[in-house]
Amino acid sequence: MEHLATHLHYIGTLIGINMRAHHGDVKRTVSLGLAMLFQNLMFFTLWVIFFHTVQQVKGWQLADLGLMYGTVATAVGLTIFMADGVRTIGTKIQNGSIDGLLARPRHALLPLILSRSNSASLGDILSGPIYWFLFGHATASQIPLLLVITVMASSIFLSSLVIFYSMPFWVSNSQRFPDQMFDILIIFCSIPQHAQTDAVKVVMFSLLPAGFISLIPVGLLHQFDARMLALMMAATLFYGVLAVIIFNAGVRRYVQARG
Amino acid sequence: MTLWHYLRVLSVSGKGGIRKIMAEGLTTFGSLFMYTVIVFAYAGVFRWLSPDLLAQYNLTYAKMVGYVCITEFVLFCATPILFKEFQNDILGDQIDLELVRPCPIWVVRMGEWMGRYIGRLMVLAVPCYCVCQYLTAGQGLTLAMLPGIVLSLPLAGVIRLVSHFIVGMTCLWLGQSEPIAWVWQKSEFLFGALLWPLAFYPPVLAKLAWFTPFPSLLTAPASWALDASWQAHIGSLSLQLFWCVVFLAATMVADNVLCRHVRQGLK
Repeated sequence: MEHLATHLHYIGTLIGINMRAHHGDVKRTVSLGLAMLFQNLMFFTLWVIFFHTVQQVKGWQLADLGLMYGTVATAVGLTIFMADGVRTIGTKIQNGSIDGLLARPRHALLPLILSRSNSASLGDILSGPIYWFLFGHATASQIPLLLVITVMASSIFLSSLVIFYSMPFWVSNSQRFPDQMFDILIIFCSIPQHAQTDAVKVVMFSLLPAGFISLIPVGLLHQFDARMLALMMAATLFYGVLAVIIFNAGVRRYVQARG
Repeated sequence: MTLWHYLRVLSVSGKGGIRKIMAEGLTTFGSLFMYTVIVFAYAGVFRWLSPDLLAQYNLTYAKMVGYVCITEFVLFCATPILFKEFQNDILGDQIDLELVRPCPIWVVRMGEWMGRYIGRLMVLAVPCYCVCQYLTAGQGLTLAMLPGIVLSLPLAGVIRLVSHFIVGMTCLWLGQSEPIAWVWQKSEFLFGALLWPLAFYPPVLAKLAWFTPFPSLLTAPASWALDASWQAHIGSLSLQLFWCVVFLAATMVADNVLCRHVRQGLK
């Protein structure tokens, strides 16, 4: 119990230091956040136009997309606001600055991912409730479920990013490729997945877990199903453990290569 | 400097841009993978649209897929990171070195960016065409459409690349260009009808879009996939040429402003 408390205190300290980065320039944080919010709503307008003409796609209407976008925006925003340091893993591997973290007694992954916070993702977090309640017609009674699935979706998203950005442990000069995988995952999460072919669905429940980040949450919000919730919890645990395993394997390889 | 010198600089910069793209093996593969995922995903959505509904707009599944294949192709050839590179050079003093050259900054930049655009176009054209034809069982982009698309793509590229130059410059006043870049990009998507043709749009919004440069970026090249009339194609090519001239003129003005700012130490 004491070990857990120490660990939680450590995480809280890391997060506190990370958030202090915004104190220096609140105006910048707010302006970036608002710009992100505005651009998110502009993009969603494309779907508003689409469903105004088409009405429904395999049973999905604009409200379903609102629920999906709300979950994705909030999950991605939460991840990038709290743990944008994950996107620096590749660069730190390439330039060797990861060495300082590897030399510490604690595991390097936490301080790595909690080393940076992106102001703009506040706009993503703010977009979520707008999508949920204005377009998705979510109700106040769904708020607890929304929070739970958002935290799980955020965790799966973060785990995926750890896996992508650990690639430079094995492939040198590949910093841009993880960024592309990051973009692909976000795009994949933002497209109605229920309409995809089985082959695409296999990919979105494995290599690119967009299905767990957006499709299953929408299903849960429509009709709560304990089995689906359990599946999402299992996926959260699975991708988290996989991310740590892959990161650790990469570190071992890196240390051996450094001699 | 004479026009001949400008063209020589453009050519040399362009070759440098093409060489950069040829050296980016993994990145180019990543771009192709991303393109394939996006197009497959949207084709999956379009599969479920009723043919009768599409016929009301003179569309088919194959035309919709062909349309989005072209719009996404334009975006992938002119990646949005260019404005960020330019911004970083302005804020990081790299731009000061470029002032020493006898040639305007915009000529060298546009030459290199155009080279990168053409390089990506050459590398990605065949695989992206194959993806489109696979999804539409060969009905998407016919050979008759290709000359028009090939004519339209460089014009779209010029407009997009020049807009990156101007957007990147906004960091002189705003500290960073990202907010403007995001809003500009989403305006491209919305008013340029990235995902579905302007026929889907409410008539007022569709008319409004044509007063902006964004349809020249995306709608104009992609309209070749929609069997529009020859008059419509000539109209959109003319509009693309018009916006090319406007944006190039704006870039020359922007270049002067940039040089003045840098020389006066205002950044």
